[in-house]
Amino acid sequence: MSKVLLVAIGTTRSRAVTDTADFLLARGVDVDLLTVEAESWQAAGLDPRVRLHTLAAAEDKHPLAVLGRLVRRVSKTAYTKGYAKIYRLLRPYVMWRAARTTVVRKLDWNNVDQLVICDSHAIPIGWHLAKRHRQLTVGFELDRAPYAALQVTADREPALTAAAPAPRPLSSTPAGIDVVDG
Amino acid sequence: MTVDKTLAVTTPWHPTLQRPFAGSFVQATTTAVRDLFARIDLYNTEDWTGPADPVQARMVRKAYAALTTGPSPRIELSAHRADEGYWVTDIPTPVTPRKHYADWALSHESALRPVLSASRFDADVVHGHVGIYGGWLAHRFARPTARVVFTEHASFLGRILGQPRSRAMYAEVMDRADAVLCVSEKLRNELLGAFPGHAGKIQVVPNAVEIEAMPVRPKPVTELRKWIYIGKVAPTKGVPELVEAFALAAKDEPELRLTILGTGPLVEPLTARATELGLADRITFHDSVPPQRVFEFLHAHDLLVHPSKSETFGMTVVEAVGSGMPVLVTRCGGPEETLEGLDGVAGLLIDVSEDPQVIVDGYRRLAEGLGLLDPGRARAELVGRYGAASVARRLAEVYGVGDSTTVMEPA
Repeated sequence: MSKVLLVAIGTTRSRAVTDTADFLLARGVDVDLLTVEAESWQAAGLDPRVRLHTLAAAEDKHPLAVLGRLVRRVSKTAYTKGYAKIYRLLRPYVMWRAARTTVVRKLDWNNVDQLVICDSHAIPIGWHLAKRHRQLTVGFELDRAPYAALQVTADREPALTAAAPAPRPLSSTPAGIDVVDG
Repeated sequence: MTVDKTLAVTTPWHPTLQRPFAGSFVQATTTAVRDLFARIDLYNTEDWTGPADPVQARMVRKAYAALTTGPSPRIELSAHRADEGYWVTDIPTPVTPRKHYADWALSHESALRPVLSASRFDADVVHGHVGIYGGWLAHRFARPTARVVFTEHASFLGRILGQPRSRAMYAEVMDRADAVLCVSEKLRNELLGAFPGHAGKIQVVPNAVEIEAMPVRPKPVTELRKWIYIGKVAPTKGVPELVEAFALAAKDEPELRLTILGTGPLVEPLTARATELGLADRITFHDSVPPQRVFEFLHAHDLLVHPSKSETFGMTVVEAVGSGMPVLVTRCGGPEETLEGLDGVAGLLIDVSEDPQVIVDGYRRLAEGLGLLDPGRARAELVGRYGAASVARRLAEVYGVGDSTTVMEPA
């Protein structure tokens, strides 16, 4: 069965993620999401049928993270002023290692049609995955064309365009409320 | 009219899946001029905010470049034809959260460069939106012979010009531009103050607003019982003063109701304040709604109160007047221009004040003179100023294309 893998490290672009998932699920396409933590996605309204692959637990098990907890136990100052600064730089590497032990090994990549990189923090992991799986279609948004002809089976059809009616309460600003004034 | 020229539009705001209402004014303005050109390509460089840490940010940039550049890039950012009849290329632009406008502009430049063939806009006219973003990209990528125009909309123009690097970049954009458009007199004055040597090319041309398409309320307003505020629920918008003003007015008029439509940092505190005032059942807070639903709310209320402290345009006010609704608006910048000559016709203008009594007094004067308003005339005036055909005629002159008298009226 075909599926699409979304990669979103945080929820800064949650609306795009949830709408993309809704579009695919409505057409019977499985959706997987690679992210750090699951909890915030529930609040963002992600359909519970989306299969989550979280990196937080795998990150916690990484030797560098274990070392961090030890340092913290010994000295909070050493942790804050020394370890935390270095770990911040190494974290993308740790996250990729965490991804390798989770989604990279566990996913049946033969069934993945597309890889969608959904936020800025996800770009490095998306690039690693794209390098490993050269057959994959990769994008910053879903190529909807392959699914356009599929029959819509669910009633939770997302808004395809800005003009379409929205299916659920929105958190965006209405017309006339501007980041800038128009 | 022979239509043989091409237009490139570059903007940081245009509707996307993540931000379906962003840049609707850019969309409306571009749609208004579509018949003036053989082809219009719009490049939407959308901020994707990433890590603040410089090392992590560099990793993101390198991975982004590896995915999007090279002889056979893994991700090709290509154009799609929008329903509005022009071509759109959405370009995710990794940026850091640090508020350095120069860095942001350079990030947009890096993201756009690989998308353009020969690193140039292949267009006769290039129109950038927001000087430091679209204006900068127009300056960097327009052909030497192309006409470069940019529109300044930014309410944060002062902050842009307050940073030495972004001010220097802005000065380059001003030098290159053939015409500089401001959506309000307030912004024009700000630019004139900063760049007096370019006074000859700075003019006010508002964004197109599809007022003709706005649904007029089925029944005219005969009493001002149901107030509505639409916008960000923030101190700069005067919402706390509105709640206090409503409480004062509501003491004597038990039938008054207020709806606050929008999100923002003051939703929770003001909800608590409404309860404290014993008005929890008379003040309703509602989450934001998409643009097409705004008119449902306007039609279901009697009066739009817009108590903002500062506004460069004030789209909500235009929408309310376009729908035939009276407005009570502060003289906060943009509304004095949008409602010029319409004080007492579309509604009432009041002073910006921290005293809620000013809103109450304005409401009472408006209620007394309600029969003197002329919502039909107010709407017609706004169509003349901001309607698609009117703005397209102005832009045709600015672009130097076509015969500005033959711009088609909308169907």
